[in-house]
Amino acid sequence: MLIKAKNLVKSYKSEGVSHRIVDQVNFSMKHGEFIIVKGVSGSGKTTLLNLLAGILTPTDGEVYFEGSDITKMNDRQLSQMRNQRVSYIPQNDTLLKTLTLWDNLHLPFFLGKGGEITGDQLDEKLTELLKEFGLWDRRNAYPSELSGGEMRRALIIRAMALDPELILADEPTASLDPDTTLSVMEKFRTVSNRGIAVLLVSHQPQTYSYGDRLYEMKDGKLRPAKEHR
Amino acid sequence: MEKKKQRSVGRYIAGYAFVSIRQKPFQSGILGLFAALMAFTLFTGTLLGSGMRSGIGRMKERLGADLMIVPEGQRAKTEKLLLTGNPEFSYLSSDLEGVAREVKGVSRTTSQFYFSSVSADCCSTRVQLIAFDPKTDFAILPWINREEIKKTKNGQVLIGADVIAQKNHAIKFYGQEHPVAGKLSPTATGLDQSVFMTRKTMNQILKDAKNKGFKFLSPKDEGKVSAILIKAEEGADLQKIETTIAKRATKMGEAVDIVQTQKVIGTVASQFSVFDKGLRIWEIAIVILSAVVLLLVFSFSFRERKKEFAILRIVGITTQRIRALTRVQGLMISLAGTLAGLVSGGVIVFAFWTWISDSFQVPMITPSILKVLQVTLSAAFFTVVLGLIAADIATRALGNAETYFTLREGE
Repeated sequence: MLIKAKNLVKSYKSEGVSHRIVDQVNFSMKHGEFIIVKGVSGSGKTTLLNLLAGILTPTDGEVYFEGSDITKMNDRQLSQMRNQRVSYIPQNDTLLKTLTLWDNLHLPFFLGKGGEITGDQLDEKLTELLKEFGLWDRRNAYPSELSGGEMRRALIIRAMALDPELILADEPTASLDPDTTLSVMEKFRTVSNRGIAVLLVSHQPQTYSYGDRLYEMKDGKLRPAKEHR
Repeated sequence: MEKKKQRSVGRYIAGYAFVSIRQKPFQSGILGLFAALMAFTLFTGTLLGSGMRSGIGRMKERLGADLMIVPEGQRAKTEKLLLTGNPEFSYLSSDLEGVAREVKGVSRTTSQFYFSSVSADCCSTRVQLIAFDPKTDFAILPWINREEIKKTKNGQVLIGADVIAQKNHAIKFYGQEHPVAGKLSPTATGLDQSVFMTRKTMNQILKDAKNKGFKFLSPKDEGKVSAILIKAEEGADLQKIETTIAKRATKMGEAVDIVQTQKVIGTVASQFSVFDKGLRIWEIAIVILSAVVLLLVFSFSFRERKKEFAILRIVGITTQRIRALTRVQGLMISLAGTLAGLVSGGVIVFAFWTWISDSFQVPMITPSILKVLQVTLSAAFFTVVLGLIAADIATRALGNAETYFTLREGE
């Protein structure tokens, strides 16, 4: 099992009242799987992804990544996991505006642990990915010069750069036009076909058919969705 | 391969920090400005304070005498002499030295004779000529190598630190060459441009001057002295000694002024003390102000970059590495500011050194290269370390909030 959530709970207190955003979620995922989680806004999808990525601490429950409980990992271990094994694509544009696309894509390698890959190998890989994703000519552009679709594709490339085992993507097609949405989803399919597991949350029905399995998040609870394809 | 990657990582971090600095030119400018101000203040304040302190220390050493008997009307000029070392040429009877020596409470006496060379072909340069008695002198000895005096033969001279001549070379006064037996350590006063000799050599120079047609000394002044210096016994009443000598001088028919040197030094020292205190308060105020501004601006700047730091955390950068990034940025800004502060401080302090010394009427010893280097390194170290600490505290102040919230806050 690649990742497994056990009785996962996240609650917040608001005006003295506790609200469960993620409520007793049990979930597991195998290597290379492509899972889509649908749900309306505020259903807890993003919180679930943040818990799985280790950038949010659960109120209760455990998250196991390849058998290790990430809720018990220290900063160094968590950072190394996010740097090399689990890539997270947040909902918002998270390229650094001060760096060019090329430098942004090198960021996890130079500032993180970077794994076994060498700088030359990374350059070669990024060149290949940029060409494949149609961004080679935009490599020296700054994030503010990229379109929404280009930005999303760039984030996918950054997520793939260090050969992770899992990509967590939060609404990667939100605010994109239908054609660009499909193009981005195709890219995720390509990623999945390469053996990288993808957990993607979305509320756009046209994206649901791309996953191997579809789940629905409702009131903090995660269940297999009836609707698929 | 690992080393190659480390080099690349180093370059990337430096480049990243540089881009971050360039991205916020106003904030970076403020940070650099205050780092420069701090380095400038520490550098100039320390050098000026040290120059004045050693100048006053050297002046106290040099004086040695508790009282000086000078011809009547020379009080003000004598006080000037004590501060600047520029002697006036009027004379009194040398017999007064013997009289003063007999006064109760007087420990030692010695006399000095002041004269000068002229800017003419007969002389190498126009300098003050000071004759002293090596057997009784206690005023000049503390800052002259005794061995050099012992070795000084008749006709030979010792030159002040700023007199342009080399040891074992000769210096010409009124047509006669005088071998230079030694060069004295600097005093930061007019004495650095003076030439010292025994009374016998001085008499020879006076004779040479007369032969060249320069009649500086009237026949009635021959055998007289310019000043009599008195060293009192420990705990002696200086006022009583002064009164007694004045009475006896009057009996002898000598009109004299008696100057208590410590009063003059005391005035200068207390002026310096006020200045020194002010300087220190100013230094502390600037350091505190700079530290607060650095901390505030770094904090403000890093708060604005919350989203950026959250992105770094998301792509797997440790908090430790993020701190390293902000430290490198703090280091770059502090270094640039320090460099600017030290260069401008160096230019200003050395260009106006004499002017400052004259303005405060305090002899200031020009610091040695080693001292300048020491002050430079200390000021640079202090400024850079403070910049780094400010950057570090500002980064830590961001707290250990969970990345998810930091990202949302930064939106």
